[in-house]
Amino acid sequence: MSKQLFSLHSWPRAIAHIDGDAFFTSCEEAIHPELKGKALITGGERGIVACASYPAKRLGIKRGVSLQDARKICPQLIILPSDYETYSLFSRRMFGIMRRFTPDVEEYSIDEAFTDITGMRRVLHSSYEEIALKMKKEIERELGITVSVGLSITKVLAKVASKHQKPAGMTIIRGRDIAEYLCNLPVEKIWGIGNATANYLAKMGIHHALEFARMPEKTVLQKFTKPGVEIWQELRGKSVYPVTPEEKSSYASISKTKTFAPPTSNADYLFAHLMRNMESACIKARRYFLSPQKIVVFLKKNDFNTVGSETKLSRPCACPMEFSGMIRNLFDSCYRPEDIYRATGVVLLDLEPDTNTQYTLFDDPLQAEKIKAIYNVADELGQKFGKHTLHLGCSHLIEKLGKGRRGTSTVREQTQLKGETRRRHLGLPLIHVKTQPSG
Amino acid sequence: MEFKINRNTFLDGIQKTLGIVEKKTTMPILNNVLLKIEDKKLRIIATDREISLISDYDAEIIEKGEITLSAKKLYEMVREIQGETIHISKSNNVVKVTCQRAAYKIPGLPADDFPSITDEKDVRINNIKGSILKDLISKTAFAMATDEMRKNLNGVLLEAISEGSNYLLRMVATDGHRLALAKQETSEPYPEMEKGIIIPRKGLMEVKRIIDENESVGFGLNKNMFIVKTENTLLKVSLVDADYPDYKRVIPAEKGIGVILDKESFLHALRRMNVVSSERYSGVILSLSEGKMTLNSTNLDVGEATEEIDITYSGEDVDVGFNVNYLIDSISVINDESILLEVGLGLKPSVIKKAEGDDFLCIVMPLKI
Repeated sequence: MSKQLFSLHSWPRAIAHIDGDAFFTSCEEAIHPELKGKALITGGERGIVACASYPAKRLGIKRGVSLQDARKICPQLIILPSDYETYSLFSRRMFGIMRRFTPDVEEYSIDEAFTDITGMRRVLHSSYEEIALKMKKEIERELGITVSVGLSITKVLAKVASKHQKPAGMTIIRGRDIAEYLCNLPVEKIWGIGNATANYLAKMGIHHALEFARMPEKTVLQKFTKPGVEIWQELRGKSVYPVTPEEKSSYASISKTKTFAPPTSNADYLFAHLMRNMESACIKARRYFLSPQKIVVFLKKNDFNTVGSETKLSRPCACPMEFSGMIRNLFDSCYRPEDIYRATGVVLLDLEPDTNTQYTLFDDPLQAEKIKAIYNVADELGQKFGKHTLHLGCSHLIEKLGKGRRGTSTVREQTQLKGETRRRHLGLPLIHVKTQPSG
Repeated sequence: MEFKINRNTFLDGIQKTLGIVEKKTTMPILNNVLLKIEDKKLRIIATDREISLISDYDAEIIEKGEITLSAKKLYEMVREIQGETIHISKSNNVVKVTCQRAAYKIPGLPADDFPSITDEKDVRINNIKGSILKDLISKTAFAMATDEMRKNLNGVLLEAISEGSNYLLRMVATDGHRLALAKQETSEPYPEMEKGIIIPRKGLMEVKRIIDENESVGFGLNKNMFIVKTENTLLKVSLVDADYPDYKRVIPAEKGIGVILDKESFLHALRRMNVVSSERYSGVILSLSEGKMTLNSTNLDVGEATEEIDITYSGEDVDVGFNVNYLIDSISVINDESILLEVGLGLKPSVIKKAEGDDFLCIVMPLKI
């Protein structure tokens, strides 16, 4: 069965997927060399494991495990607060290295990217395998982290390949080898196939990727919607998902959630925290010239239950000043003084491009235009002096009482170079090399 | 229960209930109509608990009784029957519908489980010409909201007012972006309507259906029900229990720049603009300059449309954007040759009305382009 040929050509396209291995902890190891090879996790401020190093993973400490449980498994576990600033710097450099080989780099998330290297063989005087290997080597040498590389002829297959051997693996799936790699792969491991689709496939007796790929076209067209058909095509080596190097500019929704410590039932603080999330979400919406028409807010209780409420705005709007009163009402409908909360969050939905504004008869358009002008200034100030330099009074409590970060602050935050402030500092990761005191 | 009835009468009677019976309901019996044999009439009752319709039809009664049957299936059966007289009889909740040599058997649900619908005999009923209500509805209904979240805008406001010695009925509808207001003189006052009532969308459509067929109707109020009555029919509509927004404050106090336009030519020009509009870009820009108005609609996906109309205007150049559909909707319902457009400046709303007379006006909020 594994002999079936899906593609006669070895490289109709060449797409590499590069995936950082335990990315956050790898970054920490890169800047704190003394931590290398130790059981290490990040996510200290959230109270759950955000990323576990391979030694920690081997002990059974996975993403999402609570710190308490993790400590039980491994008492000498090193717990670090997340230093997202450093991680994103590493991420940017990693993508930068990939761009030396091809401009077609799609930043899929902070620690993984697709690149299309089709047609680069002659320019780079190397085979596709060599190009992918060079990318991997350069990232590992320059950044001191390891990555797993998958090289194949479609995005879905490249992702299958990079998962095939981890960490620091390099897997190549040529067109004629597809079947070999799919025959033992459970369908739910395929990129784009979630729980629901996997269950649906199981009902048809399909458990492995190869069985799915071998389904006749007619059946697939009949039983699946567009995404299912596309994954089926990609698995068979027909590239339908292009590598899109543009920055993502359309969003179905924007959400912001933050956990704080200690958990609290202080209504003023919770509301300030919620509004700060709203401000952050709206900054992002405005950056992409989008305005939400629907807004969801939620509070997460200490027992991880969530209470939430939603409202529809009379028109799309990304200026929290205009609807802070409505958010107050939503908050009041969720908040119970007897409960203790650990996180607040917001979701902006029904995002529309903010080109034409249809004001309503019951609005005051001049007021709204003024508020819009204020936010234009706020965004400019934000760019110069840091996010939230100009913020609403109702979120100001955050500045006074703090964001409620759990645990210690990151080493980078503790270390201010000359002329740096908490908000404004250079985009440089600091490397800490412990040296033996002489004598 | 057993009776004979003319096929067309029966078909018509059931068809009138189709708009009311629920299609998606947790109470299956609300998919049904109640057939009830009273003294010399067949009574058909349909309800979705918000709107109820009671109609009486002449029939040849053989035996009294009552039953509920699926409105949709009964309608489809009767529609396909070709004879002139239909014979209906019931035994053990199964109804037999026969005509000539064709026969249907249809299981029903007992009438006891059907919500009880009273026929409101003691409510004071005022008489009104159907054309008055019809005019009010056609001039405002287009502006109703379709937003489930805002119940109070999902219907029309109907209120009785007096201006000097004249009595009037006024109907208002708005979806927040535009507001339509129509007035009609009536021959008598309706004091119970002075406070104003909100008739919901679905109910309003049923009211319209009744007045489309009857020259003169009666109407009244009972608690939170709006009642419309004709000789054989009684319609009850639950009113929206909410406050209507203070629409009077939306009516611009100061007049905008007035432009008189020929209704048909302006409407056609707008429709030409509408060709290039889509859900995303439905804006039209009206530019006033000396002696002419320029219409422009640009859609990045489709193309561009421009047109000039001669007008009497000598002020400064003015640009204002609108959702083109809002203009088309409001101008379409004006039954006059020329219209008056009062353009509001600085994002203020504009007003559309008849060139002469104040029985209709539509306020439209501009689109900031």
